[in-house]
Amino acid sequence: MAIDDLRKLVKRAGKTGDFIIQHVDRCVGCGNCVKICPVGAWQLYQKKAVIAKDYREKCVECGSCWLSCDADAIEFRYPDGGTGVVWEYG
Amino acid sequence: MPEKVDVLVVGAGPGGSIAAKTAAEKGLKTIFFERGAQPGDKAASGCGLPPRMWREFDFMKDLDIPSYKIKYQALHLLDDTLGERFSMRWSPSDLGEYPEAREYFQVNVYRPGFDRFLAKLAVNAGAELRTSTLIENVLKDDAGKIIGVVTDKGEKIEGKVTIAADGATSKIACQAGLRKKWRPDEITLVVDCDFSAPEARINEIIGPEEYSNHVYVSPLYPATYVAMMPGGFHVGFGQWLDRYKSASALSPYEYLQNVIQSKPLQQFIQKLHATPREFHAHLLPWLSHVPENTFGDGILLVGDAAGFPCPLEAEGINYAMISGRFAAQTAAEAIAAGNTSATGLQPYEAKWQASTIGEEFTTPKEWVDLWAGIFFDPPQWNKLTPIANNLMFWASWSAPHIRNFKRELANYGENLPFLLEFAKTYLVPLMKKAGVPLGRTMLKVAWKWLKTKKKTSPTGVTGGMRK
Repeated sequence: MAIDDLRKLVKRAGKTGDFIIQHVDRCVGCGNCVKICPVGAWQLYQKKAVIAKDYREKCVECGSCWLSCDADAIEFRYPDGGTGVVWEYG
Repeated sequence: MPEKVDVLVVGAGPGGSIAAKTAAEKGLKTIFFERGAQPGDKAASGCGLPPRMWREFDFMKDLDIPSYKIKYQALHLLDDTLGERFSMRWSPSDLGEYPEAREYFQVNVYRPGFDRFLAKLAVNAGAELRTSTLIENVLKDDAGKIIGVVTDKGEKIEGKVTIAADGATSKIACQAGLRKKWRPDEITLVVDCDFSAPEARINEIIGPEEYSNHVYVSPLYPATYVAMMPGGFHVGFGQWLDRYKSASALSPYEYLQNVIQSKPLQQFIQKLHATPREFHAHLLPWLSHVPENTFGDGILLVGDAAGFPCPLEAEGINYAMISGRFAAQTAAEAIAAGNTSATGLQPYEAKWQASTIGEEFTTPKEWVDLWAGIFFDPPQWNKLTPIANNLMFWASWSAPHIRNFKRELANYGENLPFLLEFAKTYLVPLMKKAGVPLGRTMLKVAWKWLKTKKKTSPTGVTGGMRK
């Protein structure tokens, strides 16, 4: 199963504002978030982690990027109430 | 003027709903918040409900959602070709403390139905449920006491006590200053895929008397579960964040690929005509220490937010519900006494410590070391799978049995240092901490056996011996 196929197995509702904020100046380019993100929403670009522009269509709201970042360069809240992933078979 | 109530509960998962239900039953004006459009929308982790929940919570007898009673558990050992080399299957033990414990392991249910069942109980008890509401922050007074919450719409709502049941990440616990975000060695990322399978097929191939939970271990991924659910099953695994970070570890996605490609899982999928239906990922606190700072000025933490999943298997739902009840009871007592500061809410800690939660945390480091060192350390299975596989070599028809028997024993002799080291590292510390008087007990049993030794043993084990 390709990672895109996994992403297709997630339903989403409504539109949310940003809920992951990067502090690029603090990023040390360790790649933790890139490796850990279960849906591959992060990439390394010029030695800095960069989140996909369309991360709101990929992210499954686990918060791993926030917790795996030792440099505190990632802020994570959640999508606005009533939006984001909807799991029917959790 | 902000809205004012007695108790605010952040999160309508199992812990939050029980907290809200208990608070409302005590006559407290209670609001509980859910960021999903309805409870269960954000619950990623399907659950096995342990039989003791039916003894702990009277309302469980009314649970009427589809469920599977799990009557078998199985462990499958794979090698680095992802083929199965050894497996065992067992039913509930006669050692179970009560009849249901001897009948089944767990009742497996999908979370949306279960979470809605619990939330409805809270609403029926008089608590107000506000869905599609993300709690963005806490409100503090000048002295830093938590006096309420702020929603994502900017509304401020005041409560005498705030109960944070906002799950694994618990932003509320961090915002309240009770702790920093979990360290990567305190929390696991669980990746899980739900498969659907026609119920008729499940019952034709397996059937209700054989509903089962499986654990697959291999050198190529951390211990993976397959839990049968009504009309499907969950496949997933977890690993501590710090371990994903290590250079030798694969990414969660790569592990999942290995899991799905493994031969026994492919067989399981094909046998049941299963298809992947939903993908989940979520965090799960798994602490090797006793949870700290579970209360503060005006605030209590319950369930995953507090770090209560058990140190052996990270079982969380039951402990979330138990702690939710304690939190609401403590809040009611503190409000009645007119002291909702940390000193008024302190009895919460004594309550959970004296409960089964506290009992689970008597050996946290030893359990976590055991689990992390065996089931969550894939390379161990390069060694352990063949050792287990050799167990029945004496019965092989490949050569005269006595020759195979000797060969097997010689092999175990060679592996003895590894096995002893293994026991010394992972089992002895657990037994010591748990106060199992290992040496003395074994000596006593041996002494008794020597003293009562007769031609035929009392257990009759020599009954079938030829003259």
